Amino acid sequence: MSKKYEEIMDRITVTEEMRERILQNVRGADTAPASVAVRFPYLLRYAAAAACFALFIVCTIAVPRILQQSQNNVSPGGDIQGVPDTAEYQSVQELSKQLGFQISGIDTLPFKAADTRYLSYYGEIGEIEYTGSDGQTATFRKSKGTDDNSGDYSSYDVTRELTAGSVTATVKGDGAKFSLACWTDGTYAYSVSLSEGVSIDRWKTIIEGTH
Amino acid sequence: MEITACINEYGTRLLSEIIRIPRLLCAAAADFISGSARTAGDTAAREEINRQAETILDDYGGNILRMAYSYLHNRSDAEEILQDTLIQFIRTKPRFESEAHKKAWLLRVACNLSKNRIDYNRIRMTDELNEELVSDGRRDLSFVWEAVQSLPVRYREVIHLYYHEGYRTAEIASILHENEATVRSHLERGRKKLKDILKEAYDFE
Repeated sequence: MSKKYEEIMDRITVTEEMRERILQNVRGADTAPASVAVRFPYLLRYAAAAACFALFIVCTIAVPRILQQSQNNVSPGGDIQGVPDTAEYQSVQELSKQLGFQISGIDTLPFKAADTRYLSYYGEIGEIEYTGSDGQTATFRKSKGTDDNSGDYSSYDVTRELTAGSVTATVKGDGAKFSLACWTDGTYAYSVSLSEGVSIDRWKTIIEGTH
Repeated sequence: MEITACINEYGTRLLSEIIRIPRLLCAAAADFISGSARTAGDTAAREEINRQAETILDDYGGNILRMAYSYLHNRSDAEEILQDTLIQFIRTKPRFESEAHKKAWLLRVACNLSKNRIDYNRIRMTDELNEELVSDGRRDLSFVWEAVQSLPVRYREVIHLYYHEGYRTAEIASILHENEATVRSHLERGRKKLKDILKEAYDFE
């Protein structure tokens, strides 16, 4: 246990003023979905109706899928918010079959993997996690679409573009070493996160060997 | 021609006003119905949930505030996260199996809200706590705090939950939606980085 860290944290407290302020705001907060009668200009009414219709169509398609997914994976923990629909598989073939697209992995890891895990999130994101004997890890994710799927919220000092094979990846790190790379081939999004950063040249090899 | 144009214009206005009448009647009816629906039972339920929020603020407010501060380094932002966590509690009305379950849920919501705010707040670089430590002559604590702040978020959050909240790695994995192996790895890497920075001042054991 770090005594100094505890001492630092002891300084962050809820003061009486803060408590009163928060309670007042919480009591006054609108915690129910708003039902406000908004009077649109005449033409915008049709735009709003069209938007509602589009939303209805989206909900008709999305809600059954969400319900089906939640039935497939009921958390024993009950009401914890945002528990991911995670499933683990024995092999990369099983993972690919579940996802409905081919995921292969990293052929050019920067370390020797002692353990490999195959996971899917919400049946949409495939993840392969490699752990070396010294504890370092590499996490590879692949999903349909082009959005960043890394789930990495860290702020990095340096972000660079790197061309590797036919793709251009965004790599992030401290300038000397980079620990995250994200890219897309137009159909799928890819990301690799390393617990221990490597040079930008080494990333080129990793990205070229990732499928 | 001018008379015709005038008739057209006023005719259109009159028509639009006539069209508005049923809409206004509907809005009035909706207001009446929603007003009637606000029964004494609803008020009592809301008061009960407000009381629960107050209890949570007293029991876990400090934990949530410190968790948020460890991400955002700013008291007013951390206070907003605490407030939003309570509002989230009121909105979702979750049921808990135990106090530990409740605390883990609250910290998870605070973590998610804080992470969402990191990108939004990237410009804000002030840290009152560090300034406070320096002005109090506690440069030793300032040194440790700066070292922790310099860690990537994924290491920092694990360090906070492990050392400050005393969670085990499996519990941290559950709160952060991570694999336990990843949490262990982040903890190890975070410790190593802190050791490199702090040297003899390192006391994260």
